[in-house]
Amino acid sequence: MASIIKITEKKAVPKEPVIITGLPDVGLVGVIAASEMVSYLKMEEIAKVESGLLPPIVVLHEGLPYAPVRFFSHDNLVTLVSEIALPSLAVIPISDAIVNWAYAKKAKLVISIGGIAEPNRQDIEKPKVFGAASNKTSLQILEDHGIKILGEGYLVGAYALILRNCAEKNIPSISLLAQSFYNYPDPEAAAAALTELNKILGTNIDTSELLKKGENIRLKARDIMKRTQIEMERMRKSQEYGAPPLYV
Amino acid sequence: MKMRRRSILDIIGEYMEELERVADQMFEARFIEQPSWDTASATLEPLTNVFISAKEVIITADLPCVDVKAITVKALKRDIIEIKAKTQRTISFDEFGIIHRKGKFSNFYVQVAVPVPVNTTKMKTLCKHGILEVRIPRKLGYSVQ
Repeated sequence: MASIIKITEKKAVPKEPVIITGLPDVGLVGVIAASEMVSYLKMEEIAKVESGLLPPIVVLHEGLPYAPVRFFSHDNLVTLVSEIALPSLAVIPISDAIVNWAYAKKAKLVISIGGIAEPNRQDIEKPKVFGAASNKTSLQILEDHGIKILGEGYLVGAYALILRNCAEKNIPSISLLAQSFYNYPDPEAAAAALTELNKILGTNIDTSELLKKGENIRLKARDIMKRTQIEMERMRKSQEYGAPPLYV
Repeated sequence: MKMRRRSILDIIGEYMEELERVADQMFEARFIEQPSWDTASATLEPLTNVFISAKEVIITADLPCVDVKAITVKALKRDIIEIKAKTQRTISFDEFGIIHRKGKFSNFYVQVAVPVPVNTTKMKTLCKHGILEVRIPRKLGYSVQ
């Protein structure tokens, strides 16, 4: 299935990179966090994702056209950001393609940033961040940094498939999921996820700016959030509220 | 050429396909492609959510840049809740880097449909961190003794 997705590199990809994905999902946590990372670290565009499964969209920045789903890099960090809601039909092949690409690039670690919907989010002052891992190596990373592990539950969406595919290929991978609003852009949750990411990567991405411009992000991201919500409903995202019935 | 008789499984399969097609159409119809802003009335449409619990309906709306005192919530009909809020400052397209459109916005406005019978006279509102929460008790049709 991955063949219908093409990742086109325009610059050299770092060797054995750490890949961070910020794809649209609950609260746009991944997109907000990854965008802040790209802008704070002044990351450079190195590759783009192309597919007939994506809507025929180009994103204009300062008058120039860009692909809406792109990879950026700085040192050995590579960050994937999508500026559009991913159609639910594209989620499986895109996740496959990302993991195949990560495998080909001998990625040291793949980290997906996302949100975990919390119905009473407005009552939470500081969102907690939970983690899930693809293998024992990455599980140890979560434990070493005191990140609470999601013991049981369902994950639905791109980060779920990235984690599963990484497990199958034995690529160390982590999903960092911050408590978040389901269908409202949540910059505070993104800041919480970035704080944990800083610990894992040893980076110092400043989250105070992100929190300061939080209201503007909420205003600006309404449309992509609305479209993401439509796709999340198509993927039956609400299954994440449930608990698996069996331990197999 | 002899036509194969349709089995009951074929008929059920076709029926299920038809049901799926209708469900997809209904799903698509919920999301009408339109801008989330209206320059004529200077309004932005907020993101909203409706949660139905056993005893109440909880409507929330994301209202960034709004003063809590400038929010009004009203029941227009038994099943429509109107949310209006004035923004603390005028918001323009320029702020988002959009210069090919002109427009300034000073209000949020939305009408939310309530899918189950509710008692709007007992509606309660609360706004926290820019998220408006409207709680409306459900009308219970009957009780089992």
